[in-house]
Amino acid sequence: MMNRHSELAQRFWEHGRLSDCPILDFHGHMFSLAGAFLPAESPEEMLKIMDRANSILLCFVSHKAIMAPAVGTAEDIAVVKRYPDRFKAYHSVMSRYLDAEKDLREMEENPDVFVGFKFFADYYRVPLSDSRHDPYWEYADKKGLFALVHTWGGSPYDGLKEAERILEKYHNVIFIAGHSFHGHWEGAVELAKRYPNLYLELTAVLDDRGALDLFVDKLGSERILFGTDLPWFATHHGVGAVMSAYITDEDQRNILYRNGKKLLGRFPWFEDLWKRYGNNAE
Amino acid sequence: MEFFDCNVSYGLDYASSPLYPIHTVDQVQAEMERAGVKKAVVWRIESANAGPQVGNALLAQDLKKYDNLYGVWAILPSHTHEIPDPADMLKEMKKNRIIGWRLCPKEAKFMAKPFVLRDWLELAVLHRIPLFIYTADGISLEGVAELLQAYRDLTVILTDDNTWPNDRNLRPFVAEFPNVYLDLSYCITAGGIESFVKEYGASRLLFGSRFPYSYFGANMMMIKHADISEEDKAAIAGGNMKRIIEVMDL
Repeated sequence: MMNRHSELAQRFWEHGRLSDCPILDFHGHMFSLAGAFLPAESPEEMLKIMDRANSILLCFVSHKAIMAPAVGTAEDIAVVKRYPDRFKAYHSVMSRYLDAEKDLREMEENPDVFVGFKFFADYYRVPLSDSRHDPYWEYADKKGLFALVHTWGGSPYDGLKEAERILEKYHNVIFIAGHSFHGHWEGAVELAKRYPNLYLELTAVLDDRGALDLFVDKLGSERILFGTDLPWFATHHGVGAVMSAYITDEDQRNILYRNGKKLLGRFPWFEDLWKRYGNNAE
Repeated sequence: MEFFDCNVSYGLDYASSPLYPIHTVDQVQAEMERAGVKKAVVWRIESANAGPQVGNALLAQDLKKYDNLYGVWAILPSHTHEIPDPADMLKEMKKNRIIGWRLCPKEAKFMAKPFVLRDWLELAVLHRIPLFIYTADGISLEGVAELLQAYRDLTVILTDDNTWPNDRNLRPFVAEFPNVYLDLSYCITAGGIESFVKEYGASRLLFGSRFPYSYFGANMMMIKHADISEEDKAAIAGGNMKRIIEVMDL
């Protein structure tokens, strides 16, 4: 039964998907990866996995877009155009190969494709606050877009200190802390308390029992977003973890879709998408 | 579908602690009931960090309270005679519902080489006693390969924590050695179960949660709603672990 104290968990356990509990996934990737075999790397296989859990929308940046400068974002754009109701993209910020003029033009030309940027500072070894990133932060802040940021506890590139340098300066960008400053859970909560535009995202958090319980206990559930790293981690694994924590059914709903719905409401395309796929979930 | 977890630990770790530690077997039992896990293979943390002499005894005492729990003991090279010698071990295991051994060379400071563990490994093959090998305990996948190359019929329940996703490393073990089983504790790749079962069948995967470091329900949900047959799900959830115990010859 997975969690005998949760009515929502028991229903999800039984059916594997619930029309009144859609899932909005804020952290995904796509296509093959140098360091691992990912059997569900194609958009079509990812959609099958999403459908099995009623995950209605995934915001992603492909591995190619973050690891292959020669390829860039063209394939991400093509995927979103092929499946506009199911995928939206983060434009990669490839810190060592930046062309802000070109990247921001792509953003302007594709308002129905991109929800914001993906920063991968740890991998590029360029700090978030490096001045080369300024045009991206300024653009996202001005437009109120998302910045999905790979964050890791203790990192000199995207740890708590670097994040705060950005958050002190930009109050309008939605700073989504991918992996929630992994391992520095208390610090993540304290930072989120200080900056209302910071959201904690759960990819690679949910395999650590207790971090989510701590977030909800000390921060509440309204600043937490669900994410899976799909096609890395199974969507049902993530949902099972959320529903195993010592949190209420209302907290679970906040995390799985309500918080995301509020944030995505800033995009004109979302209302129609939610009408068609959200099943009026409250 | 009955869930039989192959990877549960508890106890008091003097060096570190998860956010919400589980110190007693009663707490384990309560959490299993909350999640709907029927049976589990359990391990006391003290068997590694306070030594097998301490942890193994604590575990044996705990298991008297719950007959749905099966224990794993740490072993040491027999040359120093600090735990029951291999010749006496089977009787002790049967008496205490111990169904396998775990190697902790990092904490116990020994080399997990075939020549060091020869008498244990011969006994394990002869009596089909599983070795629970977790690479975080100080034995690398290369070390596991060395043991299996020397004793290819050895039953190994393998938990690898070094890389996720990790099929490039783990699938060759399954293909090469007939009695290697993968604990799913760290195998949480999207579509991973489906892809593995298509290639190798369901008989080599075991439900493991790594509780209390992970939630029971995460991998339970992943298995229950995998895109495979109900029969295969039942095997992975608990049937395979049950069979491993049934074929042991104590």
